[in-house]
Amino acid sequence: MLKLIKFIKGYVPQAIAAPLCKLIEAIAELAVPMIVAAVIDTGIANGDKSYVIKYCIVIGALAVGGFLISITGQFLAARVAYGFGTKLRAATFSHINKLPISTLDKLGGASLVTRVTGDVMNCQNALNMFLRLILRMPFVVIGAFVMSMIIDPVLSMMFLAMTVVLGFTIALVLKLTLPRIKKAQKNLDEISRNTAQSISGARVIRAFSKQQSTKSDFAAVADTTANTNIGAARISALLAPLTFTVVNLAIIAVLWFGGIKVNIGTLTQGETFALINYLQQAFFVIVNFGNVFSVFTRSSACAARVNEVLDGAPADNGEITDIPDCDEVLRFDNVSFAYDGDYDVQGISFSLEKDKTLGIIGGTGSGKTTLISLVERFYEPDVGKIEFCGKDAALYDTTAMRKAIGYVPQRAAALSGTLESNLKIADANVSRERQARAMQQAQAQELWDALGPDGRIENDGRNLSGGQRQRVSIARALCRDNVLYLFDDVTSALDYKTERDFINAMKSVPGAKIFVSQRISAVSGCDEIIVLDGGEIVGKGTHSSLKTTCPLYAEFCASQSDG
Amino acid sequence: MPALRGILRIAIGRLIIMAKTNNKNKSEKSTVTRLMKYLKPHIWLVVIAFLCAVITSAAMLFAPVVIGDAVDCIIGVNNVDFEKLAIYICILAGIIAAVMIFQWLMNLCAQRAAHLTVRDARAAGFSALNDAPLGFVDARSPGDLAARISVDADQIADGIVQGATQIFTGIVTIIGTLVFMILINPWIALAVAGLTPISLFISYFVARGTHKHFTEQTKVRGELFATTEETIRNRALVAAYGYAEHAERDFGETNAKLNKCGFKATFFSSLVNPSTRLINSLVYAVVAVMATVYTIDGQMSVGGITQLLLYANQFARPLNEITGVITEFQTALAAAKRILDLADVPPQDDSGAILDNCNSICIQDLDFSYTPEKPLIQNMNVDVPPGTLVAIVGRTGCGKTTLINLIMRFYDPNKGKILLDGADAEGFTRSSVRKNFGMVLQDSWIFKGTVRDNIAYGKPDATIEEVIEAAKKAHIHGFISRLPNGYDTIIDDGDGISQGQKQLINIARIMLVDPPMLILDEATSNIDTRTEKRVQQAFDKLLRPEDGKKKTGFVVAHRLSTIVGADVILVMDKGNIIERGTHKELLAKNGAYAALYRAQFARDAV
Repeated sequence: MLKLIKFIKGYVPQAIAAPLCKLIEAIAELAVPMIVAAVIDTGIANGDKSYVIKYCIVIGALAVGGFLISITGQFLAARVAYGFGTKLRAATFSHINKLPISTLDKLGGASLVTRVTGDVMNCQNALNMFLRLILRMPFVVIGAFVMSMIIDPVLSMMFLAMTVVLGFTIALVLKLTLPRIKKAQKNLDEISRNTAQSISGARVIRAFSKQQSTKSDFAAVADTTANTNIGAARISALLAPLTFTVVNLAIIAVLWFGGIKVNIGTLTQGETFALINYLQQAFFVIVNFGNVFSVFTRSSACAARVNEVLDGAPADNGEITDIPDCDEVLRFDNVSFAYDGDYDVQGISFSLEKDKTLGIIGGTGSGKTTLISLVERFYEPDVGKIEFCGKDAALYDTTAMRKAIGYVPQRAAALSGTLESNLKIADANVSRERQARAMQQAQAQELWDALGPDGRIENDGRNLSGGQRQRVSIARALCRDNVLYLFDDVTSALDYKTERDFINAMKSVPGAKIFVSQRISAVSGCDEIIVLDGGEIVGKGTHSSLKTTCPLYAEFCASQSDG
Repeated sequence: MPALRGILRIAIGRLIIMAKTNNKNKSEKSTVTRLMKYLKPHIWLVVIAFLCAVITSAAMLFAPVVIGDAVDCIIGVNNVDFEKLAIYICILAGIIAAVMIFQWLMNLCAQRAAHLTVRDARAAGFSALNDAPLGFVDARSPGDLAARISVDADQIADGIVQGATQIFTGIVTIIGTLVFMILINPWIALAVAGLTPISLFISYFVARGTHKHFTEQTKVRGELFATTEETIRNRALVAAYGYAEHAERDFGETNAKLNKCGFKATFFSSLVNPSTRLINSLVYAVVAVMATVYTIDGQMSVGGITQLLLYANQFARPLNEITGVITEFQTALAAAKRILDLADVPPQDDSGAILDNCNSICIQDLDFSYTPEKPLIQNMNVDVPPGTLVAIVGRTGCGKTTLINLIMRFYDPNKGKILLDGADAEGFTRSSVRKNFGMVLQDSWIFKGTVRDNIAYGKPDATIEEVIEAAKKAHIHGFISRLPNGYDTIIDDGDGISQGQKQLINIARIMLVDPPMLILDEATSNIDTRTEKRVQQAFDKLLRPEDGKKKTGFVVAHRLSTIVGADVILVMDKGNIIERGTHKELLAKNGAYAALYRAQFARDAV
């Protein structure tokens, strides 16, 4: 949490003023029992009504003043916390965009989203609470203690004992409850998972008539969850009665020993009363602290997760921003790469010339998509070198280099917005004419006519079919001029006729192209075809040459061409 | 004391109005009534909790009286009545013991009742989900349904049962406090009661403002979550097209909005404590003045002051707690309504005769649409005699999968009927109809469990040999053997295994059951072409065993090469069958099928 404190910049005066306000309020609050003691001991003893009224007006004034100061403090604390949170959130989000894809993949998408949203929110709430309570809490406890010391140093030891015992009690209950609450949280995840599973499997469960056993499985999970929660409650239910007991035992002690002292004249009745009052004030604060403490523990875990993102090293980046004109667009020189452990692609060498086409074919897990990720520089090769337009790819500024590449991923992506806003991701200034042409080349003329540029696209393109999403994704890449196009299995959801029309349409688009597929039909027309198997190149040539030279390729042909 | 009673009535009336303000219709009441069904089995726990709450509150309220009386025993030098003091201290110890036991018991019972109620509501919701017509499940977002059963159900425990206990305790405390104060000094009690409306008004004002701003904040947080999630999920796209700057601008806008409304929400909610303290202090000051003046006039003791001040100190707190809890209570009721709505979805009727070993299907004058505005299947007639292999082809959305939904009785036809072995399908139980079909879908499904349990899903008592045999037929045995624990490896729907492997496990399931009829809806779409060919052969063996009778089967396929051998091919378009016949007949006809077929095989000419 401390590491994040720099995000408080710009709100430092408020951050100092807020706890001070709360401190002043606490002083006002602490003064009250002393005044009442004076009223009892002096006012009543002398029967002086005007003395009593005067002091009670002071109590009222202190209350109003304390209230005003307090809400000022709350206002400032909320201001600082939200200012801090907003800055931290923006910084985390922006830093994520600078991290290499490999780091992001390792951290995981869902986890990153939680870090930016939930975790930052928790840090922010913790800061808010910290500012409000940091000075107030210890001050009330210490202040009440000091006041009781002034009244009677010996009896104030009761006070000290109570504080210590209370602290231990709360800590113990929390310590025993927390792991059980965590377990209950895990159970809740299990409940969500079970439900999601029975929804995704709705057809299969019904087809096998397994509703009954599905239900009894779930009932068992629900039962475990209930029992875990009840187990946690069994302990946390002790908190309130135990704290009540501790504070009232302290009061008993004050009453008894106070009685003895009053009897010999070293204490007054009013002072005994004030002591009891201070005990109660401190009691409320300490009980509160228990709640606050758990917020702080959780927030420190959240802060650590946010820091993990912020500490991530940004992607390595070159300096060249101009892409030179070169006959050889792409060259792989003995490239090997591993996500972790064994190489996922190994010893890959090939080159691709301007305006030529390269087909990459292979089964699932043969390393096709890994090759494309290396071209896009989502990952850097472990061995070997990749050259782009005649220069080592690592020397380029990644943003500039990627802007020269039309990348169409295997999993077609669409952002919520309009069809036009989705196409404009490639180039913010692309004209309507060009958009229409790109859609046509992507064989999505029908969709363009039906939806229009202002047609809504829902999050993740949910309102489009798989094939439509894929074609919008292709059209996006075609909305700007690229030196190189990467089509990663983009025709898998298209029927054969549409696939053929698309490949034909690509012939009129300038630029080198790589077609990755499992289907012979998608690569057979390429100038050169690479056959991948287990991360290695097992065949290289044209469709006709590979049919005879590469057994795997021949097998692909055989399995895909006839019934 | 009629005046006091009137004030009390006003105060309680206010509380009720507060409870009603946010939701004026009667849905809340009905939610509570519906919830009672799940609470009823545990009602004795609730009764105990309430009884304990009364005892606890009474004991806690009695403590200040005893403390005050004890202070009265400590008057001055040589004027301390130790005997009486000892008695009071013993009483106080008794009170402590009572609170200790009954408060603990109250918490235990309330929590137990809460979590058992949640458990039952959850199980009911889950049951309803599994018994509901498939149309119900298809029409709702999975995330929403899962949220109802997980987090929404939890709210019943946190918000409603515990909330009710808290509100109950609060009311007992307030009434008790007033009663004790009246006993000590009615006029001071009256003054305190007079200040109550201010306290109620402030807490109501704060609660309403907080609720409004928190609702706004929740909305903006949702937006922020969506923006973040979308950018991060599409990180490859964002990186590839240099979209980060744009994404950060969008994020920044929502972030600024959150800053504004979140600040307001937090500030408003933070007003609760200072306001409580303000009211408390004011009440305290008023009580102090009045009590001391009465004491000076000899109508009260110093102990009385102590008692009254201790009460004054804790007077506003339960009021505020109640207001806070009521807001929470309302949110919880809304959440409870969501899970109860789900639990009350009527189960699909599953009565009828048992269908066994069926192998012929006849579709007569069938009409079906998912929504009345968009007619889909109209007047369909298909006759499938025993042993026929039917292939269905057509573009996405042509109604292929819908037809399968109808045959499996996932959906019911709007008009016309489906005859199974000559009898109307609606006369049979859905489960027995489904047991006659082995179905493999494009979206394969794996549940969390061992590979063995996944394959033996339709035949849980299958021996391991049978399971291995089925896996071999589906060409997944090799892969399973390489898993760390072989057939005992736990798998789930996550990233562990590929789509193709999942599909093969689904196929193995069918191989094991060997049902009388088969439905293969793009069953091999995710499998690489080499394996596909082998699986195809296994299906052929299953459909056309060398020594047995042929099975009836339906095959939906993208790749036409896999269906040329079908007995009849149905070409569908916009819900209707536009062509039917064998591969040869359809090619000769030179219509839609021929065009589709030529397009697929044209590449050989490239």
